[in-house]
Amino acid sequence: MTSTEFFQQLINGLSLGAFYALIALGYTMVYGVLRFINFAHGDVFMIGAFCGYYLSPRLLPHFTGGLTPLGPVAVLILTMLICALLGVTIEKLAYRPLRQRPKLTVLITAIGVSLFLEYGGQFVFGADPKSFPELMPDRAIAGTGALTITTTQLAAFIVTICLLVALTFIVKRTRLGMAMRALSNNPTAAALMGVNIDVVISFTFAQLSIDRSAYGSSPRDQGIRCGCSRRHRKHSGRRRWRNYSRRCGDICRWLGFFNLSRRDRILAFNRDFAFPSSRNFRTCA
Amino acid sequence: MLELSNLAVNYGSIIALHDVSLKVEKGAIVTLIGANGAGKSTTLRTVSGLLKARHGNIRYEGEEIGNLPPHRIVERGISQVPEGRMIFANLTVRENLLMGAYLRKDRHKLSAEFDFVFEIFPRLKERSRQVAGTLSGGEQQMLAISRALMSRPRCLMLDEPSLGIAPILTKTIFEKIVEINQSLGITILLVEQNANLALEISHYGYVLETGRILLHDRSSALRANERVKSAYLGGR
Repeated sequence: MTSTEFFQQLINGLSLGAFYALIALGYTMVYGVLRFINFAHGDVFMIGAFCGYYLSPRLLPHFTGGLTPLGPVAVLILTMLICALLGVTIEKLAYRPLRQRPKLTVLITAIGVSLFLEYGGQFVFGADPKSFPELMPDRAIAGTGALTITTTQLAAFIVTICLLVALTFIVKRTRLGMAMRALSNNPTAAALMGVNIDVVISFTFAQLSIDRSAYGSSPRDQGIRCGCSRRHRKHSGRRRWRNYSRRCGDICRWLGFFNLSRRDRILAFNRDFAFPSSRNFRTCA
Repeated sequence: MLELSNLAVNYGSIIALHDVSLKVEKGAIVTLIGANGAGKSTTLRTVSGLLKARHGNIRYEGEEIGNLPPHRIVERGISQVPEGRMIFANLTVRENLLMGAYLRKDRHKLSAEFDFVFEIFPRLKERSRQVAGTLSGGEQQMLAISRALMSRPRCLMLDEPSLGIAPILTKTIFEKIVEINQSLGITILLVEQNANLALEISHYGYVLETGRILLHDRSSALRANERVKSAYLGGR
């Protein structure tokens, strides 16, 4: 491998890894504060992406030229608000009534919420892949020599870093962040300190829904779709579609990955990572 | 100041408190003694809003507080030091104390509160940057008490402050409880298994048995009571 190739792959890896970091962050935040895996995580991503999809043609023309940074930022912020609202609503309707129940109950409910959003999404948005509108001109940045860095890659990376910094600040430095850490440590004691647990949990959900939507609506070169469709099979060879729920499923599998036997681990690795082209058929079949 | 009348509490179908009535006078140290499972902790947890009573009333300074959530009760000046300390182990000592003052909006004016708890427990000052989980059991208890004091309560409820602590430190902690009561005028409701110690420092005592108040009297009288002596004081 030449050094150019190495650095090129490093750049590609970093921009993709930045996305994964955001998903993982949302997962760990819910897990950290509430101790359950939120299966509906990926589906809120999906809603975020569709928000971006439907909002951008309506919003962008209002900003001069449609391609100034202000336009994409407006789309991003509005998507964040919608997803925050969705996250809080899901928590209130689905998870809050089960707060005192065994964790498994909440887990099953989360799968239910996930299916509801996925199939509800297919019903509303249709199962056909849609290609995400161009939020900003996607071109290679000049002056990087033999390496190619596209503007979308850079933008996505910057958005991720900003969100990571903002989140760290909230969790480490603010009163609400301290309450979140205290709550994850000992909910009873936190309540005794005067922490309104409902408010903090709602805030947690709002916050990570914001992350998710940022991921969903950030500029990219790939299409979006909702769930799996027959149509998708035809495309899978030529184009890569992003399926948010599945991407989160990958992380779930990674979490479970180390519990598998060695043989299963190799199989799982081949299936998910070494030969990614075969994966589309697997989940869609 | 604090008055419970005919309080009954269930855990699911299990009855924890049948009928508990007790009264805590302003400025007093009142203790609740009894065996394991008698309902001592349940009583405190109900007052602080963690559990809901099936029936009965909790009145604080003349107002009914039985239906309020925990954060509203802290707001009114009742603070609980929970059983087993329940400090936030991965927060620093300072952050734990800040959590105690969570409801204070003026977080930058807390130096008086910090001085005040550091004066009572100087050891915490040396360790204020340390992660709370690394403190010894006794220090954690000091932290739990300090944390409860940060909200400037008028009524402090302590649940088993001697649990899992070296006897020598227990003595220190009980001295501090008396100090908090006398020099700050904070009313104290103390739940304790170590009936000897509890009756020594308190003014009035209640004996709880399987969810009912068995008897109550001035602490000095309870210590002389034959039944209490044989059942709870290891008396001969």
